[in-house]
Parts: sequence; structure tokens; C-alpha cells
Amino acid sequence: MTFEARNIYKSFNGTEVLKGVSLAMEAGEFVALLGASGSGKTTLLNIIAGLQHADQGQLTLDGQDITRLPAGKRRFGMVFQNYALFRHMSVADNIAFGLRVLPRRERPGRVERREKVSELLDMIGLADLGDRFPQQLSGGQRQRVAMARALAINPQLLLMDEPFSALDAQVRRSLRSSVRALQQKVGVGAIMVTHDQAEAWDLADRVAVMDQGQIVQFDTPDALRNTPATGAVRDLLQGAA
Amino acid sequence: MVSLTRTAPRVLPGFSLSLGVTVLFVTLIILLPLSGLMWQLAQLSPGDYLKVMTSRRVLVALKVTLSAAALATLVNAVFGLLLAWALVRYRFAGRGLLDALVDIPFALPTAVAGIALVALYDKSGWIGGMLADLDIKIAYTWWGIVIAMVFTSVPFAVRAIQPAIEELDPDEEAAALTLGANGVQRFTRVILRPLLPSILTGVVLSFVRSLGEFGAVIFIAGNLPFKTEIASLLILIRLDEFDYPAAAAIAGTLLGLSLLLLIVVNLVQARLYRYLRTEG
Amino acid sequence: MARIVLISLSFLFVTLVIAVPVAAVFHRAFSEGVATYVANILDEETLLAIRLTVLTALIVLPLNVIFGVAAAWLIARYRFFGRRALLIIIEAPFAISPIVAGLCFLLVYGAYGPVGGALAPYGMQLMFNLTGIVLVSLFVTCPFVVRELLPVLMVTGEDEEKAAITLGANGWHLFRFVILPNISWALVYGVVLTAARAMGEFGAVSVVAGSIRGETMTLPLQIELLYNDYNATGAFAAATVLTALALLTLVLRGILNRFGPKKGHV
Repeated sequence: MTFEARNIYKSFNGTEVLKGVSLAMEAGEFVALLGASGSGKTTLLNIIAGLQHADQGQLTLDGQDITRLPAGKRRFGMVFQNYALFRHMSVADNIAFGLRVLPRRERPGRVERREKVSELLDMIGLADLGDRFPQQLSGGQRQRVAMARALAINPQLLLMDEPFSALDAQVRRSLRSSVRALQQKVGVGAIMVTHDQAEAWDLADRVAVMDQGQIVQFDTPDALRNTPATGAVRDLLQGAA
Repeated sequence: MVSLTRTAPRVLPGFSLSLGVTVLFVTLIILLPLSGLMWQLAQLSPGDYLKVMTSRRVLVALKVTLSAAALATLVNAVFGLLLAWALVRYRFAGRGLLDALVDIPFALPTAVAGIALVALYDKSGWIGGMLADLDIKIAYTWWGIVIAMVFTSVPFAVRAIQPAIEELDPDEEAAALTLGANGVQRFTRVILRPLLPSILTGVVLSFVRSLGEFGAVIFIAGNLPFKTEIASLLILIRLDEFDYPAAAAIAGTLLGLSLLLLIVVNLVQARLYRYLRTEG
Repeated sequence: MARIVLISLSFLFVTLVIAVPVAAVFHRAFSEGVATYVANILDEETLLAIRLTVLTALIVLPLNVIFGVAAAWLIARYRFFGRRALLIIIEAPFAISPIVAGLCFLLVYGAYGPVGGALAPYGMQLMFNLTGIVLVSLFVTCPFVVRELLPVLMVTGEDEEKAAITLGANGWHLFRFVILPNISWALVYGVVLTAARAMGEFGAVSVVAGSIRGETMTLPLQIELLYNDYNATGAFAAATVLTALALLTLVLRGILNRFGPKKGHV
């Protein structure tokens, strides 16, 4: 599953937020979009998800143009910054939601759905909490449920918007490795938006450094450290230990 | 190959459906009827309009309505402030009951309010009977109209003032006390002034409601032309006579006055808030 | 000291101005005994009036819910030209007196109005019948549901809805599984207020109902009719039904406030 964004432009009320952003990723790759707030990284992620529309530019998945495909048809699993769990549904129902709303022909039966849910609950280590409601979970648990919900639809791509920002440092670190493990186990390509350089380093195969609406460098963490392309990249990297 | 997305589709579904339903409903139920009144008014020459509005019966009806609404509003301003203050500042047995009772006029159909007040104030009623012994008559007089207006509009005053009292800072009052302010100064400067915008809102809402009140008033008013006839009733009478232009003239005047007051209170309020903020 | 005086004054005012009149309705209704009260309630015309009132509410409620949900959704979730104006227009019925409202409908939908006149040749009459009563009831109640839903939709935000969309939900799924559970309490509240107002409206309905005995008499109109017929006891008996309804509304409101979701809860 290869994904590519080509020459994406986006303005809000005359302010250009994305100025010709291009990004190509390999199957199963984990890419981090790293940048300060206002660099346009979240807008780019929303455009990839189909939650916003680019003024100009093209998105392709395995060579297919998906620029105008509605969000729901893209099958990109999304983990929101505040998780956006359905507060009126149990954890199990949250995870099953994507399966429940499939068109009748493709929808798995009740038993099958339940199996899939318990499989995912096992995977995120919350096997006993399927009947709980989001309010009854800790932040870390909510984050994992959001992951499971996004993975339940067998996504073509996993999108994460600052997935750890609402957690305290301790939980954050322990969740990082489990997110990476989960992503590799499922074998899905992932794009994560973050402003935390250490997070990008830990998780990503490649990091796209964004500054003022452009990707200034897109490379492996090592290459970024050894040959930063611009002063801006160097500044950003210096912020981290 | 660059694809241009000129008209970005909306992400959340349902825009055209909800827009369609809303526009259809608003047009049929609100805009069309209101434009009907405007249309009827537009057909009236200024001379005809003046002739309707300056007839003695209309003038008396307007005077009765406006004066009763004014007094009712004054009563509601005073008791609205009192009730709001008691409800916010004090904890006492029966506070929940008091709070619920204040909302009864909101919930009670106006026709019921009307005959309830008659039941109480006519000469066979509990209060009316007592007052009759003192030779005081309330039902079927101007005073009855005032009481009906007080009843239906008191919750507007209370509920408009209440949130503002909740936001008052008790520390400021304490500070004023320590600075040697006496009771009256404390009340007017520290309490009354910050509450002014919301009192004004409550007063205007209560006045507008009283101007248009019909059901509660007509039972107790007596409805004597040139004496206790309110403007709303006169509209209805003109309608029964198929004198649509006259009905529209009176209705347009009432509506225009109400809207004007609501607009003015919004403008004044914006100014007052700014003034209060700059004063610190 | 001030405290006691202010609290006592508050109770005195509310008791005299609000509580005693309500009590007086029941006192008068039962003044000729329970048997007379029951006979008055079971009077054929009164029963017909109750029937018409309930029927009106049953027609008005679903229409108002559809409109209220659509308008609240529109205003909360989209930015478009005329959004603020729409909000003001929807609130307008609260500022317009009932008689003026009724007159407006008569001028447009009555036999001499543009719409009513155009329909008359086809034998369609909109005023002085159930349609007229429903139309003005829609007018006087239209802000209630919107008003309750709008703040809830504003507070909940669109995150859950966006999440549902990325998971493949269509418009119906979104409404049924995400929006409706989030707004259900506010919707119930709005429905309660709408029902109470629809059943109790007097002024606007009296303009367009035509007051045909046993046909277009809603319960509030029937109260006036009985009262003017010198059947005061009957009028008060009919009034107890509406009073009970009003008290029930307040009780329901209290229950919803106490057991409904607290504001700002996640």
C-alpha cells in the first residue's frame, strides 16, 4: 500500500497554510510529521484523512487518485488528539463501530464482529474492559481504545494526530513502544503528527520536518541528525535531547 | 497532473438536507406570515394609518396597554431583583419551591392564568372579597390588567437578573464595607451598577411581554371600550369586523414598538458593558 | 435581619401573585363537589376540546422536532451566509405577541390572503380549522427545540462526528449512533416545553381557530367559552387539566435538570 500526496496547497481566509507539500511513503512505513504549531502538519493530516479538502494538489493510494474520495470511503483509520471516543458507547461498541456501519453486503455478522472486537481488545491489553464506557477509562486506556477502533476497519493507512499529547510523560513513553509494536504487527502504514522530536525519533522510520507550510526535509532520523538541510531543521532538532 | 478542487465538498453530511428543511419551515411558518403583515401595512396610506391610530378608541386602548405594562414592569423590576437576589444569595428551607414557583407563569397557559386571577380577585374570590369590604375593586379595572401583566412577565425579570447576580463578586461588597461605604452606597455603587445591563434586559423583556399579553388579561380586564380595553383585544375586534387594514395598523404598531425596544436594549447593553468594563 | 426580610418578602410576593391564583383554580373547580367536577370534565364538548388539543400537539411535535434538529445542526455545524440572521428569525416568535402572530397567519393563509386566496378555488381552506391551529402552534413553539439543542451541539463539538465519518459512517449512522445519543436529553426537554406550549396557546389560536363549537375548540378556547357562558365551574374544571399539565411540565423539567447530564461533562 503506497501513499502519495503531491503538491498540496491550502489557505484559510487568505492565509496560506500549506504551500505545495509533497510526500511519498512506502508500504508499512511509519512516517512522522514533525513541526511547531502553525507549521501546517495537522492541516495536512486532515486533508489526507479527507476531513478537509485541499485547494490544489493530488492524493494517490497505490496509484489510484483519491483526492475527491469522501473520508469514509478511504478506509484510513484515524486516532484523534483527544481520541474522540463515542461517549455513549461501551468500549466494545466503540471498537465495533466501523464494522457496524459497513454496507450490508460487506458487514460481518454479529458473532464475527464480536470475535474481531475481542481480538483487538486482547491486542491492546484491555480484554476485560469491553463493557466499560470511555469516562471510566484512564487516559492511556482511552488512547489504546482509539487505536483499536481505528484498526478495526483494517485500514489502508493509520493516521494519528498528536496521539500522546493528552497523556503524562510516564504513560507516554510506555505507550510509544506498544503503538509501534501494534503498527508493525498489523503491517499498516502510519502517519503521525507530532511536535515532540523525541517521539518522532522513537517511532518513525522517516520523519518529515515541516516549517511554515512546507516539508523542509524528509528523511530517516539518522540522516536528519547528520545532515540537517536547513537552519530551521537544526533548530528543531536541537530542542530535543 | 493536478486536480483542482474548486468547490470543496462539505465533510459533515446533511448540509443541504438541514438547510432545505430549515429554510422551508422558516419561510412558511415565520417569514411568510410576517411579510403578510408588512404587505397589508404597505397597502395602507399614511393618512389611513394615522386615521386608524388616532381614533379615540385606539388611543385609549394604547394608553391603557402602555400604562399598565409600564406599572407591571416597574413592579417586576423591583420584585424581580428581590427574588433573584434571594434565590442566588441565600440558602433557606423552601428555596427550591420558590425557584419552581417563579417558573409557573412560564408554564401555565395564559387562559388559565386569566381565569385563575379572576377567581382570586373578583368579588367572590379570596382577595377580591376582602377588598370588596374595603370598597376596593381590582377585577374588571385597569388594576386587574396590571396584575395579569405582572403575573405573566415576572419570570422574565427574575431569570434575566439571576445570572448577573451569580457573577457578582461578594469580595467587592466586603471591600466596599471596609472602605466605609454605608448600606445605600454599597447597594447603588457595588451591587446595582454591575446589574444594570441585566436589569434593563429583564425590564424590556417583561415590558414587551406585557404589551402583547392577551389571554391572561382579557378575563380580568372587563374589556370596556374607552376604559379597560387593551390593544391586542382591539386587533381581534377589528378582525371580527373584517377591518383588516385597521387590525394590521394596530398590530404593526405593537410589533414595531416591541422590536424597536428589543433592538435598543441590545445596543444599549453593548454600550453599558463596554462602559462598565472601562470603569473597571 | 435583611436576609429574613428579603426572603419573607420573596415568599409573600410569589405566594400572593403566583401560588394563590393557581390554588384558586382548584378551589373553584371543586367548589360544587367532586361529582360536579367529574361531570364537567366528562362533558362532551370539553372532551372534544381535550382531544383536539392533544391531536394538535401530536402533529406539532414531530414537525417541530424535525425542524429543530435540522436548524440546530445547521447553525452549530456550518458557516454560511445569513447564519446570524437565521438565528434571530428563529427567535422572533418569542418577541411577537400572540394576537399579532395569529393576525399574520390570517393575512397570508386566510381566504383573503395571497396563499389562502390561491388555494380557495381548489376547495382548500387553511384557516379556521385544524390546519390553522397547527400552523400557529408551530409558529409559537418553533424556537423551543432549537434553543435546547443548540448549546448542547456547540459544547459537544464535532470530534465524535468526524471520527464516525473516518470509520465509514453515512449521514444516517451519524445521526442515529452519534448525534442522537448526545442530544437526547436536550431533545426531551425541548419536546416537553413544546408540548406544554402547543397545548396551552390561547391568543394566536383564538384568532385562527374560528371557535366552532365542538370542532375547532382547543382546551384553552373551551375554557373561555365556558366562562363566557356563565359556566364558571366548568371553565375552572377544564382549567385544572391545563394547570396539572403545567405543573407536570415543571416536575419533568426538575427531573431532567437533576438526573440529566451535567453541563461540561465529558
